[in-house]
Amino acid sequence: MKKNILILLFFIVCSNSYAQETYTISGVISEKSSGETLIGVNVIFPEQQRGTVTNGYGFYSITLPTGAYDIEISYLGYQSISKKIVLTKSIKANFSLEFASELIDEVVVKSNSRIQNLQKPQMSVHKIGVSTIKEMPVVLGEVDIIKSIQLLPGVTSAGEGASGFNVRGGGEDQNLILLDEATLFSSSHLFGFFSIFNADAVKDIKLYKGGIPAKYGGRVSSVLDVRQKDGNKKEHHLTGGIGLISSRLMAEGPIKEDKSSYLIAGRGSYAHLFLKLNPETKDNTIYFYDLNTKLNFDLDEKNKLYFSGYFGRDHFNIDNLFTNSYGNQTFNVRWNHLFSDKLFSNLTLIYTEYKYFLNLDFIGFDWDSGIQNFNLKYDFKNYISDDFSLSYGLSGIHYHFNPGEITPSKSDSPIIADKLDQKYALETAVYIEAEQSLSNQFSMNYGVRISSFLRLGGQTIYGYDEDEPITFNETLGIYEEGSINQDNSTYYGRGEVIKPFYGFEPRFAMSYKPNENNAFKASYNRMFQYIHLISNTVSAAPLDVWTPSGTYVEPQILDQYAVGYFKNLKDGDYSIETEVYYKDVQNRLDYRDGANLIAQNQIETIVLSGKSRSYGLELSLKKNTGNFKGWISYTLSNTEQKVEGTTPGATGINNGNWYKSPYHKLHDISVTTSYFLNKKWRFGANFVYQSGRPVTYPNGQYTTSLNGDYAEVSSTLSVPVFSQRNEFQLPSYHHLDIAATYTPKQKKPRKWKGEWVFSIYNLYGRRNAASIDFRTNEDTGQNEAVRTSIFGFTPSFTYNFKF
Amino acid sequence: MKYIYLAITIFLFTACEDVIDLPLQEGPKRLVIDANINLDMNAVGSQEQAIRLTETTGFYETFIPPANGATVKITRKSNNDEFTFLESGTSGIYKTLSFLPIVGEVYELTVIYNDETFTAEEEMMAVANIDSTSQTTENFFGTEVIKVEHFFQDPESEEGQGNFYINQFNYPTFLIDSYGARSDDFSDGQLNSIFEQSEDFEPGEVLTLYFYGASKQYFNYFNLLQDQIQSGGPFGTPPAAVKGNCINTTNPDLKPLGYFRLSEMVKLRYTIEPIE
Repeated sequence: MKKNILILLFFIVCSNSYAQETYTISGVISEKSSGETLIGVNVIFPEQQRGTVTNGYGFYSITLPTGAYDIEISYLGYQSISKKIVLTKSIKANFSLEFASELIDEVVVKSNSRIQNLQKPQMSVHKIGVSTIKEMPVVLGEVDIIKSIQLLPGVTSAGEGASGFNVRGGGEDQNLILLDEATLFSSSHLFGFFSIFNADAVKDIKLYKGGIPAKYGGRVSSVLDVRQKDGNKKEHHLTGGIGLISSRLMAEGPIKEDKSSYLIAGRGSYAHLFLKLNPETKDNTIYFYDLNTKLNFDLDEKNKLYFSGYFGRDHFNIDNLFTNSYGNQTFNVRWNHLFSDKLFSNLTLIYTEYKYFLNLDFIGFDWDSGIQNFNLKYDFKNYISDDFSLSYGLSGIHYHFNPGEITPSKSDSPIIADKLDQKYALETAVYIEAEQSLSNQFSMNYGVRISSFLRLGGQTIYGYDEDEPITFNETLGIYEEGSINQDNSTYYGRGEVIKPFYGFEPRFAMSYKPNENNAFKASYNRMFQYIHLISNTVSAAPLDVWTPSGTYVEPQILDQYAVGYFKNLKDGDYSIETEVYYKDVQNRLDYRDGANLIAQNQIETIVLSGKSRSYGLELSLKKNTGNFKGWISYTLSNTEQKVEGTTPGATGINNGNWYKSPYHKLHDISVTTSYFLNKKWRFGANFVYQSGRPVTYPNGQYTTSLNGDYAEVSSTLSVPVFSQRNEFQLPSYHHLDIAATYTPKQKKPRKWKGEWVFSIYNLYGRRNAASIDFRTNEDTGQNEAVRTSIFGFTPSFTYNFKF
Repeated sequence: MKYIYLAITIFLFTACEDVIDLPLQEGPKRLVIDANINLDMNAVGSQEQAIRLTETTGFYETFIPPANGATVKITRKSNNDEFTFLESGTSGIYKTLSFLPIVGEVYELTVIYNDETFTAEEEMMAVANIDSTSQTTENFFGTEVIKVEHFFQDPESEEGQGNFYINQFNYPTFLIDSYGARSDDFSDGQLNSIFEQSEDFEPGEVLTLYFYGASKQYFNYFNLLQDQIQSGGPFGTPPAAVKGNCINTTNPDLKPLGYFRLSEMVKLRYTIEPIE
């Protein structure tokens, strides 16, 4: 594959040099009032059916033969610019777009739709720009990015109380979550109640469900690329909101007008104060807070420097008996450099840390765990000609995993201090990808990412008898921990390679556009994931452990195939998208029965390796224009996994048969609507319906009495007998949320702008089961099924302001 | 360490629980061998040992069907001494007064029922005696509770070995006894304790502790059992099919449920003292 690319490149370069003189037009496109660079702006030459989009830093470049051209700059939510240019030498053209008022919104949207989805071969991707973010559904008073992406086809949550999101049947840990290029290890606060992103500080979001470009790697299911705003380069502004449950405040402004700017945004919840009203819960505190910071400097025409930071924490304190706090923190520096008007580069240096702390005072211990990483990325984009561009670059990440450190929390604690083996690794990659338009109808993206993962030392790798970290006891029919063999165990020093892995990841996407309003797309990608989230629960509880591949754990390898069809109806008023995908993953881990995760030093004794597969059909219908807008998306899919026994006689999990994955959702329907009544009132409503999560129900019971006293009723324990793993489903999950926004009319335009948002989550108060548990009723002795639901009817009131 | 999941499950802010009517399918019937041989280390004279045989039944049923007419015996592996258990009426409970297990010895249980033979093997485990007991008053989630704590000395274990304990608290107002299981993983060789606290404790009432030693295999089994009984909550672990140590030698695919265990036991009756 690599050889073919090189040959193709050679011919293209040769063919270009025989053409007539070509010149490059390039520049940066920003928003007029703030100077904020805009991502994904369309720069179109309508007659030539050629165009490009601005990159993650607002930069665009296109090379065309000498001549006169009509150029059209358009971006959803902004007034388009049409110009005539004459290209007789390479020119620099920066553009400033003005925010569109509601009146001409229709026109803007129409001209965009015709171009947007159909042009590029990119499929399985959702791009959400500045103006769309503002209109996203408001839940609990503020825009929640994660809840909003769960409304898209192919994206779900694992259910009530589950944090994070699942893409096309993939696990929560299979999503690469980036904030200004820095990797985050979780995407929610308070078990999915809030997302980690402060929407006020976010400029652009891209979610790749498939057809993932070679630039990204390390996670197999999806990429969520979130970009923060740079900060208003022209004026100082304060934006924020005060609500019943949480509040936020953002300050931005120029340091040196048009040259540099800052942004600082903070957010926090205080709903736990309501707990003080109830004497039973008054000593409990539950809250989260986060801080987003940004500094950027335009050093000169060719160089820009950005500093970004993020700090977030979730905090629980139950009666001073139990304290739990965890969260992400990142800091990064980026340098944009233009080598020429055709070669854009970005160098990033990142430090990320995910920390987890738990204190259980009544037992007497403190638990500390986390991940630290240093990351270097160097990305290049070479805009070679109007129909060909090349992206390439490299990346290196150094990991330090702290699986856990236990210290006694008080002097009379029976706990002995212990530190689980620290783990280190180095993940590197190089990639190259070409974007090529072969004709007006046909374009392709093709490339490859070559990754490697070196598990490094600084620890002992244990050997086991018979080389089996997990043994299968045939007589009892159960898996057990293997016996450590000290002779086979090796100590590796810091920097020594314990085990290397290499991945060859081809990426391919193509699009065929027979006419203005239709497009067919297809894509294939292979992804490698070297670090795994070992989770014994459906939703990643903060105690779950990230573990690197090594002697006993292989990397996950995914192959995804997708085809899609896109159509614009009524000249862009409506659009239909449909995609069919198939994914299979090798080396997906799952727990053996009886596994104890807490303080487990040898992960290899509790996990078994298997495979998973997922396939589905995604459909969505959108109404893009008018006062009433929205979309309906429907996903029909199946996700399952299989763990076969590897040693003779071993049964695997579920007797080696396919069983439904915890994130399997047969049906997923989302309806999102917004209604713009007039300049004062705006309404929105969302409806979500998902099939219930797969569960294991009991199909019988028996009793046992440890003390042998069969006459004593209270000494009898009733034990449920369970069915095959995930054979049944929870009741379906659905809720309706509504929101109303009132913007008071200002008799004369004032600097202070405000709006009132009133929203209700779960309007009809459906008790969605987070789980159904089975137990013996303590009062009646009868067995019963108990449903736990979390988020009932939740109203929220927020005042948003900007000045 | 189960405390962690338990603690997280308790607090959830707007969490709401309600009993629902959920019909369940019933699986095939299986034999359950509940063989708990406990040797009260502080008692004198012979002790009656009982083994109960039942069959599985529907999850919501209240009557547990006994397995009648089976042959039950225990053999001491080292010298083939046999001890026969006889059924008491049609209760499914098989008893004997003549069985005195010895710590460290391995025993084999044999059950013949409905023309099938079932066997299990386990070692007789020791337990640490309770050295002292303390009673205190505590504030737990805003309620005043009485806490009774029993202290015991964990003997130091060799590298790779460990001691495992199971405790069971019985109290007149408890409709179901309260259980705990622990290993000496983080507290080897130290003075350990087990406790029970409740706002229902009244001076003059008796809190009975049953304290057992367990093999590592039984400890893992017991934890799986507890997971099954308490399974769920938003952080629930997927329930595993708990497999005991009994085998069906006639039809190996149809394993019986239940566990054959033997251990020393401390049975301590503590009378709640008046609060000053």
